[in-house]
Amino acid sequence: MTAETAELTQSDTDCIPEHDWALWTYRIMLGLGTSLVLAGIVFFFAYNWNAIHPFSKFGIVLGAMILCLAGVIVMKIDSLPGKLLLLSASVLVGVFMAVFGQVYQTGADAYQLFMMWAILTIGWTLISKFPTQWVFWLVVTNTFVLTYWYQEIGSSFGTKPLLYMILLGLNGVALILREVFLKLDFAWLNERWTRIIGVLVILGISLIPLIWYIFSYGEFSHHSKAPRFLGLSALAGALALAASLYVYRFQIKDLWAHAISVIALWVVLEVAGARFLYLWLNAGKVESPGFLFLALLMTIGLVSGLAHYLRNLKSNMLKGEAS
Amino acid sequence: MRTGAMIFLAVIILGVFGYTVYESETLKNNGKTVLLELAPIDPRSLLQGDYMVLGFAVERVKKPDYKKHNGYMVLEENAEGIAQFKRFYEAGEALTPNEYKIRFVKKWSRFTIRPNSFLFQEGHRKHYDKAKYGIFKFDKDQNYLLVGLADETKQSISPK
Repeated sequence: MTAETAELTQSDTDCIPEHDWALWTYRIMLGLGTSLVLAGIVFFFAYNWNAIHPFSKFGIVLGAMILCLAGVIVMKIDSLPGKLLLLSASVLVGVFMAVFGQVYQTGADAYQLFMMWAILTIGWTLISKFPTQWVFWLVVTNTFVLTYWYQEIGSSFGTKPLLYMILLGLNGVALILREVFLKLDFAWLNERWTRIIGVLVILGISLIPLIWYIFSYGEFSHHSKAPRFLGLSALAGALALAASLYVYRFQIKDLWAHAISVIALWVVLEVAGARFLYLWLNAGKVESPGFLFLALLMTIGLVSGLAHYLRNLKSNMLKGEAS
Repeated sequence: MRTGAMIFLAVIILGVFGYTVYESETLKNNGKTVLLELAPIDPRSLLQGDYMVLGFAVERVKKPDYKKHNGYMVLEENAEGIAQFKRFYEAGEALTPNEYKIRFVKKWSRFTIRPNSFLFQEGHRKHYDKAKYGIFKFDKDQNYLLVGLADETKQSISPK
């Protein structure tokens, strides 16, 4: 460390460097360091050491957790290191429960683990004012929904579309709350990457039942029945897609989020068009030249049309239409 | 204020952890030992560590029809001390002293006892290959834990 950077890191009471490059490096290093240390702790305990007494394992994890909390108090809860330490403590809550599951054989990847993890860390997440902490909490909660579904409800219920609706609801509410509270001046929420991740996740979940529905359209009338909730689930997905397209174009102008929605729309149109052509030519043969030719034309048309639309939109936004 | 809230929440979390460990230790140390015969399924491994998927003989014996997706089955120890399926548990019914109730999930027509996995140290699979019974501990309130696996002599397997 040169004298200059040493001065930089000490010049500010929060130990935050002033130069952009230094700040960037500082954040990246802090983030990487935190995740690598946490990954190391997770893998260490995943080994399930027989030679370490269970109480020692509990003690190590809880000791680390308490050290993190002490660190939050020292570094202050509003500083980036403080927030990362609180996040680390929240991760260690899950490590503790994983070790607990090993010691008392409560079941591999049991949903109770993720459920308790989400319940025990919601308080810290609420007070954290840290978007990354919220993303962490949502990952845990989504994992709970998935493990619960596969362990307790699973295939016997035979209604996977319902699962997509539940996941869409959970993540949709989270994204809506993010946007609403950001409008209400909760400035700490203003990290754009959480919006992009939210839009990606929601559209990803929406596309599954939508595409499933389109592909199976016309298949169920004769022999078999459509899975329960498939139509409803596809409708929910379509509404989410429409809302995302509209909101990020007109309500909150965000070209990235809107472009992702446009790409999702393209996927749906492409699939629907292909399905229509397939049924219309009704050869039942995808390899029929007519099908391939028309599908190619449709793809060229859709892609160039949507690309043109996005390019226009971008220049409009640059001209000052956007806020 | 938020730091205070953080500490308060930490105390709650530590309290929950302490209580669950205390409860589990009590059950492990004072509970009644019950053996369930295993029906072997290949071990698997996950990020979380090595474990083997357990199947139990009581899952496979012929049983009366059961409509719901999960519930409890009542087990009774036979002369050799191995728990056998007796009947499905009806809410509120009283159990005799050598009856135990154990939770299961039913998918399609397959019954799965919970827990259906046994976690062990990475690489210790060879010790557990000869496992024949699951060792459970039950307390008076029918809470139970899987505490280990036993070989055909009913001795608990403890890798060195």
